Amino acid sequence: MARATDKKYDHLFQLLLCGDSSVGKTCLISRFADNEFRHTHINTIGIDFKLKLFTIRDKKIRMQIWDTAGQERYETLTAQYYRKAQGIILVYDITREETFRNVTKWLRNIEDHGVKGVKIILIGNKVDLESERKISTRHGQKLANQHNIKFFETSAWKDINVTEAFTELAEQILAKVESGGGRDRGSSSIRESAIKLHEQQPTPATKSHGGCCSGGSSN
Amino acid sequence: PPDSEQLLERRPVETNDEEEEISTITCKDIETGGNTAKSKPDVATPEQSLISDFQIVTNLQGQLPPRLPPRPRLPPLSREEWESYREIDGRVSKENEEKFRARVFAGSIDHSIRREVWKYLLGYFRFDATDIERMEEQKAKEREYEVMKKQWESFLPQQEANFARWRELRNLVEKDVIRTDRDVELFHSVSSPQLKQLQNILKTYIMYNMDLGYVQGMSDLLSVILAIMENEVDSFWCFVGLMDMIHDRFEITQEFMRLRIKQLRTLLKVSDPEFYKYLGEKDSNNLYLSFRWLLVDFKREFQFSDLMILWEVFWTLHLSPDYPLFFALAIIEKERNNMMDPKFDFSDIIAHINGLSKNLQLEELLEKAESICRQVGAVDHLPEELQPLVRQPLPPPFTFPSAK
Repeated sequence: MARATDKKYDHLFQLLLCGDSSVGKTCLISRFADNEFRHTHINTIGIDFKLKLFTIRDKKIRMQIWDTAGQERYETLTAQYYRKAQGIILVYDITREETFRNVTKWLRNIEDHGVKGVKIILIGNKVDLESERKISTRHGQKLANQHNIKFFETSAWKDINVTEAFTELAEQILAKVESGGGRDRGSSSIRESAIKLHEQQPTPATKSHGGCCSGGSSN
Repeated sequence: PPDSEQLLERRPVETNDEEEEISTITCKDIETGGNTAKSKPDVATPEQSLISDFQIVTNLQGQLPPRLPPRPRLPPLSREEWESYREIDGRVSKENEEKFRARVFAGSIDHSIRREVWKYLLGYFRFDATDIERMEEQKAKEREYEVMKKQWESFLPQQEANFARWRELRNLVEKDVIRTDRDVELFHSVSSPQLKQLQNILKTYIMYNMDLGYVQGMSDLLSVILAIMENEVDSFWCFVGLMDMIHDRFEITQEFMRLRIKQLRTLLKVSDPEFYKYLGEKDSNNLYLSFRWLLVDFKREFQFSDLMILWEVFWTLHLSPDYPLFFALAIIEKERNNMMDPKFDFSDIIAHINGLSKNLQLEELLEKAESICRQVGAVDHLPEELQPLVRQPLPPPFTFPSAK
């Protein structure tokens, strides 16, 4: 059908950024998606969103990047989006200890609300403020190792390592999708409920397909 | 109940069961049917007929009466009019207060008197107090503010070190204030006194209401108030009044925000089932993207000058205690055709909604919102969920006393 030609990308990936308030989540996204850095920031209310078309290994990836508010209060809203994310970037601020301490709390959130096997990257942001650094690279790396996730130190302002971090995450998701271990979208919980629904209404079940471009709502 | 909520969220795409119940008819078809128009229909001006670009009035189980054409907005409330509502001793009678609210709803407030009139709208000044009483009360409020401000200003370092919640909220305030409306002249400079005032007020509000504390979004609401008041104490008490109206939105459970989004969903389902169904097919009918609209009353979607007009309308509570829902519906209705592009997917819909920021025509949307609200309000048996949303019976549209 015409649908395939309408689509200008091979895969749709959904990413989400989380972490304490004011660690630079929105700035990282602006740097990655629009290559810009604004000095007059605004805080994110609830949830925000950016799109980015990105190519890895000749594959066009449409990235849907969800930006979340850092204040705990809005977790009930953002939890809805954890379920859909295939990749999560957890951010702390290397100049503020408490944002690093809270990383474990955010990891627990991801465990509670995210998909099993969701790809996670840990970012220590604001390396441009080296003189104010409170968390050493070694500490960040150690925490990432403990949780078996990749770690980057970035500066959204000076454009250090930002694309690298997003690329790594996209690579991981792509590898998973291509190996058939995951789909463009969907979580175990959504899959389960979809199966239940199909049991109730005997329609041809959209069986799990290894690829991701075969149309249907998952694109 | 959570069950039906889940049904709405994860609605299977293929269902057609609702379709049969829904008969979609255009406005023109219905008008001749002469159903239950409660208020007198206005004479449609040429510009009004333009607005009926896509007025699908739908009978969801025969619930919606015909939509009346939008009423043009009135000029803003003038100083003379405002004075005419006040007695010689400064009081505003209950009857005049009602007229005043209807009047502000229909045309908002002239900028030259906003500073005074907002104090009433936001509950800082009592309508039923005389000028003398009001001056006394204002002095008392000033003292109270100073007391509360002193409380946090006089914390000893050790006290702060032993007070985690305060530290957390204080940091959040400081981080947010320097991210609030910095593109607006008033707050542009790092050393602007207004930034300091925003901080002071929000920190003092933490002392005033420790249970609620500071929640992200509050600084966005306060900055507009401060821009009008240009005074720390007055801004604080106006902000308190605003929070008294809308604190539910910021409560920890977020239940109220979820309820509002659910209500918006139901309103859309009733008023435009076709578009609701379309959003469902695109996995977008949970309307979570309206969260920002509804939390801070479209603060991020309009310039200050428009926000003032819009918020005054909301604060009158004239037709509805939650008028922002109808305003949100007006935006959705206005944009629905642009979003019903067959090539659109979930991302495109969100991107479109996000792109609306600072690109919306306020007056037209306000007129549309009133039409929608009156239409919903004219329904005989509203679903229970929607009943609290409209005053029953709806007050008639405001008319100037001279124009019979």
